[in-house]
Amino acid sequence: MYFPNADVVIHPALLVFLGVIVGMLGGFFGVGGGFLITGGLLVFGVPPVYAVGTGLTLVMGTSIINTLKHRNLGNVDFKLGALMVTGTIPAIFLAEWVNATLEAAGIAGPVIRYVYVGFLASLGLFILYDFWRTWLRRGRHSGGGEVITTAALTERVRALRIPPHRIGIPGVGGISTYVTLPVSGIERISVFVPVGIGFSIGFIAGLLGAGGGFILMPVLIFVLGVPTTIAIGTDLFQIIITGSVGSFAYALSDRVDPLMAVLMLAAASIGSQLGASATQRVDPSRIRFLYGLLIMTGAVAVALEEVSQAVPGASVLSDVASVVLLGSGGGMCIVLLVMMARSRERRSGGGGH
Amino acid sequence: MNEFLTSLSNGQPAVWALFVLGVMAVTALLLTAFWSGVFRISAWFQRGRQHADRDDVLS
Repeated sequence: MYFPNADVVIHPALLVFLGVIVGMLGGFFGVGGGFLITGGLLVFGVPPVYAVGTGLTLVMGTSIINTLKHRNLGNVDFKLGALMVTGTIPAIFLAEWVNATLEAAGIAGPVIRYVYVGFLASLGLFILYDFWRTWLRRGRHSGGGEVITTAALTERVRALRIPPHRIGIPGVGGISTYVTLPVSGIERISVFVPVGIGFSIGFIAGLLGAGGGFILMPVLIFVLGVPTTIAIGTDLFQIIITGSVGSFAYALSDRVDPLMAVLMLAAASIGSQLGASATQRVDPSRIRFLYGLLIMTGAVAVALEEVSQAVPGASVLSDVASVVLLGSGGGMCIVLLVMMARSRERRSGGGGH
Repeated sequence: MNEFLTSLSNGQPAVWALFVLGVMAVTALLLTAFWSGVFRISAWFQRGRQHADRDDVLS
C-alpha cells in the first residue's frame, strides 16, 4: 500500500500489527506509546521525520479511544487531569524554548539522550524494586487497598499547605485553593500540587522529546497515591492534550501521513478494547511490574540507539533497538492475553481462591 | 480531492494541521462508538442466550 505523504510503500498488515500492539499497551499501561510507534515505523522504512510526526498523531488518536474506554470503566479523574493540564501546556512551550537555546549553544543532543536513558533505567528499576518490596510485605499485610513503598511520601505530598490558601475573584469572592478529588480518593489537596506535577512532567517530557505519559503514570501512583487504574485513565486524558500539541506542530510542517495514522488507529482501537479491559482483571501490582519491565526495555532500546549514533559503523544497532522494542511490546501483549484468559478461567471456575 | 488536500497542506499549513487533528479526533470518536455498539449487541445476545438457557432448565 502506498502512503503518499511519507512517500513509502508498506504492507498494511504490518501497520495493523503495530497498531494493535500500541492500542493494547496504551489501554493497559496508560501510555501514548510514541517510542514504540516511532521505532516500529522506522523498522518498516518510514522516513524518521514522518515516523515521529505520524507516531504523535496516532498517540493523540489512541489516547482519545483509550480515555473514553477508561471513562466507561470509571478510571478517569477529569478534575485532576484538568488541573495538571494547566501546568503541562506552558511547560511544553518553555521546554521547547530551553531545547532550542541548548541546541544553539551546542549542548543539547547527546547529553539529553544520556539523561533520557538514565531516567528511564532509574524509573524502571524503582518500579521493579517497589514490586519486590510490596510482594514481600504482602505476606504480612492482607488488608484491602493498594500497597506501595512510598505511602509516607504520598501522605506528606497530600498534606502540603501552599499559600495562597484563598484567591479573591472580583464579583465571586474568595475561592479556596484546596480541592477534593473523590475519584482518586484524595480528600483535600492544594491545587498547586497537581499543577506543579503537570508543569514538571510537561517540562521533562518536552526536554526529552517524549509524550510524558510514561513518567506521569508512576508519578500519580507513587507521589500522589492515586490508585493504579485511575492513574492509567487520568494519564491518558493528559496525553490527549500533549499529543495534540505535538502532532499539531508536526502537521504544520507537513510531517504527518494521515492515511497511515488513520489505518493504524483503526487497528489500535481493537487493541485498546483488550488493554483497557485487562486493567480490570489484572492485579494492580502486576500492572506496575509489567510497566517496570517495559520501561527497562525502553531504556535498553534508547541506549542502543545512542550507541549506534555515537560509534561509527554501529548503525545496525539502531535496527536492533527497534526490533527489541517491537519484540518486547508484542511479548507483553501475549502475556496480557494469557493473564486475561487465566482470570476468565478462574471466574468461570467459581473464583473461590 | 487529492489536489485539494495537496494545496491545503502546501498553502494553508495551519488549516491542514487542524484538518489532520480533526480527522484523527473524529475517527477516534467513530471507532469508540462502533466498539461500544459491538459490545452492547454482544451483551444483548449473551443475555438472550442466558434467558433461553434458564427457560430450558425450567421447562
